[in-house]
Order: sequence, then C-alpha cells, then structure tokens
Amino acid sequence: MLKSDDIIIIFGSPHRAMKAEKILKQAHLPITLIPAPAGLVEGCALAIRLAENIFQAVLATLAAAGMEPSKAFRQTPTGLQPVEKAA
Amino acid sequence: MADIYLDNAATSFPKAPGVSRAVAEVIDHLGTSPGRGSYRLALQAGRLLFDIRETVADFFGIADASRVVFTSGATEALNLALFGLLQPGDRVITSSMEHNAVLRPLHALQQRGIEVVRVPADASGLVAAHDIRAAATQGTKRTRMVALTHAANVTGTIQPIEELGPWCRAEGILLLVDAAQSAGLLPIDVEAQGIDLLAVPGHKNLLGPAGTGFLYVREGLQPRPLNFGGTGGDSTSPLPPEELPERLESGTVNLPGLAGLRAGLLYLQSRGLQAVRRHKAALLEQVLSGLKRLDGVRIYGPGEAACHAGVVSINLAGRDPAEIGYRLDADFGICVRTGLHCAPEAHRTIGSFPDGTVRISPGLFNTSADIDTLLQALHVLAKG
Repeated sequence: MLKSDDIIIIFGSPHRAMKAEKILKQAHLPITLIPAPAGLVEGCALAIRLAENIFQAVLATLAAAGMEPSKAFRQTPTGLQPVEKAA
Repeated sequence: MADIYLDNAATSFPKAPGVSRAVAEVIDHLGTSPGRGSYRLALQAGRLLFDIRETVADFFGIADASRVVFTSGATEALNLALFGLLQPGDRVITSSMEHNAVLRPLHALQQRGIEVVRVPADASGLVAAHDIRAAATQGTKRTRMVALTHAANVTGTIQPIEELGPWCRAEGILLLVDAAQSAGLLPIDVEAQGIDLLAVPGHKNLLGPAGTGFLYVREGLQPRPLNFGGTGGDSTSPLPPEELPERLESGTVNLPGLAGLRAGLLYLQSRGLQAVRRHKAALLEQVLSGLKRLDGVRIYGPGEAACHAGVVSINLAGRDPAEIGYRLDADFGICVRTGLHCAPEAHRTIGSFPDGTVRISPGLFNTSADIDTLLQALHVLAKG
C-alpha cells in the first residue's frame, strides 16, 4: 500500500477526507484515497497517499481551500514517521 | 376514476422524475456503507454521500457542507436540535402554530426543567414578530432559543422568519426553523436569514423519498447526539467524534434514500424555485378564488395565495371534515387530509378544534384541471 518516501495525510473525519480528495483531484494532483494504516486512525479510517514531490503543493492547495490535514507521515525503512506540515 | 392527490403537505406524490431511478441505482449497484470500508465500492459510496451533502448545502446557502446532518426526516432533525442544545434552566420561545414534532419534544423538555413559552398566533395563524421578541426579552431569564415553523402545516401561513433571524442573531438567541412545509417552496438561505438550525424533510416539497431529511447546524454549535454508535473511525474511543457530520450520524446512513433526495433537488433546480412557487401559487389562487364562490365554505388562514405556503384548510358549514374527506375520496377519487394534522394547538388558534379541517395541499404535478375537479366536488358536497 505504501512505498518508501510516500507521504500520507489524515483528517479528522471521513467528510473532510472526501473533501480533501475532491479539492486535490480538481487541482489535478495525483493522490489516492487509501485505508489509514493501523494505529493512525483518528476519527477517520481513510488517508490520502501522495508522492513526496507534490507534498508542498498538496498542503498549499488544501490551505487555499481552508483545509489542513490533522497529521502527515512519511514511509521510511523503519515505518511511518511524522512529518512537519509547514508548506 | 384516477386519484387526484392533494395531500402533498403530508408527503409529495408523485416524486420527481429520476428519484426512484436514483434510489434503485444505489440499491442495485452501490449497496455499500459509506464511511465504513475503504475498498473501491465503499469509497464510491462515500463520494456519493459527500456529493449529496454538497448539493443540499448549495441549495440552502450553507457554506460548509459538514454542517448538514442527515436524519430520517424533519421530526428527527427537530428532536436533535431541541434535545441536543437545550438544558435545564433554559427558556425557549415557540408558537401556537407548531406541529407535534416541536410541541411534543418541548413538552418532554418541560418535564426536565426547560421553560417553554408559547406565543399565540392570530386567527389567520400568523405569529407576530414583535410578540416573539417581547416574549424572548421579558423577565430576567435569558432566552436560549426561538423554535418556529416557517410555514404552518394547517393553514400554510408564512411566518416572519426573515424579520426574526437577524434580531435573534443580534440578541444571541438561537433560531430553530421547522421548514417542513417551506423547504423546496420558499427561498431559504441560512446565512442571509440568520437561521442557526434548520430542520428539513426530504420527502415533502423537496420531492425525495420518505426516510430522508437533515438538520443544518450553524458553525460553533455542538449538539449532543440523539443516537450513539458506530461512526466509521476511531473505534477505540467510547465517545462520539467531535467532528460534524459524523458526530451526529451514528449508524449506517440511508444512502439510497439520499440519492433519491438529490435527484429531487436537482429536478427542483432544473425547474427553478421561482417557477415552482409560481405554479403552486397559481393552483392555490384557483383553489381560494373557487372556494370563495361556494356558499357555506369557511377558509382558514390568510386567504391570499401569496401568504399561504402550499396549504389551504377549509370546512363546510355544519359538516364533519372527516365526512367531507371520505366523500371526496369515495365519490370523486380526491385525496385530502382531514382532522387535526398533528397540530392541535394550531387548530385551537384558528377555531377548528377539536374536529379539525379539510386540508388541501396541491403539489408540483397537480394541474388546473385537478383543481376544477376538486371545486366541482366541493360544490356538490356543499349542497348536501
């Protein structure tokens, strides 16, 4: 489900995850809605997966729509590690 | 004899073109639970639910679709607003024209220490805005909420929501609007009208299936849930989530019904709300002007089509409304509702308690010929 250096972002609710997906797809950013990995579910069992090279564009697009993910993680050889969300 | 259905205030019939197809499409091809699994079909269902919520929000001027909480109808939406936000010691102002969907929850809340002030309407069913304001500001106790119907279900009388909304907002009083008879007929914009809580059925003027409806909850308000249960995420917590709409939507949503509701909304948008209102007002005008030419007919409510929201109540002098309803059905195939219409206080207000009235409520798909048939039938019945 996740490759090395993939980023996943999560939201507080399924509604917000769906909204984020819609916003990002309208901006033609290549993202995928996936099940939130075990242990990361916080009010929503969904997460958005994206490549690291569009992470800042994703954050900026969401911020422009008044949205912010509740958390972001990077897939590393030792597992998922939190990442700063600052665009 | 083909039936002529004139009971659209109870539920609209027929539904809009496309509604039954939309319901069947979900049942046959997308029968999964939105917000639960994350396989493709479940995601597709979740996206559909999201789109429906945005369609509803757009229709009612709601900026943030997450504040639209789907319910089984207006009754559940009203219960959610009243039980979710009122606490012992609060005062709530309401009117004598309310449906039991407001009166009964308020009666129950009164037993729990909530003060309920019922403002009387005049004989036409109109609640004066200044009477609401006076009731809300009298005494020293702070008023928490005004709960008012937008259009009375017995007489169709349109209440002064536009006038009260900004005032309530300025006073810090919550405005709960029961839009059971107005949503899909009268313009509603929650921001422009200062509405904090809007209870809407999907199956009346919005032309959707029964079992659908919603409560709009203004940002900043956090009602206690009526139901507690699964919401699809954070299953380890014993508490419901903080986020709307999931906080207030425990259990599996009625996606087939909501897909039908969206089809109804899209149909109304394609017809245009003004055109819908014009058509129904023309039918009501025909009803009213025809009734005024009949001897022995008493019309309740304002008597002018522009002041009625889709409903006219009448009685024939000295006749039981139940008998008139029976004869209309049996002899002429005309469906109307008789009795108290779940609004006993409204009938006390307009002077038709305890027998009630004959309620005529044309719908979007009725024609002028239907009304002609009704008037001819009433002419026959009025003669005895």
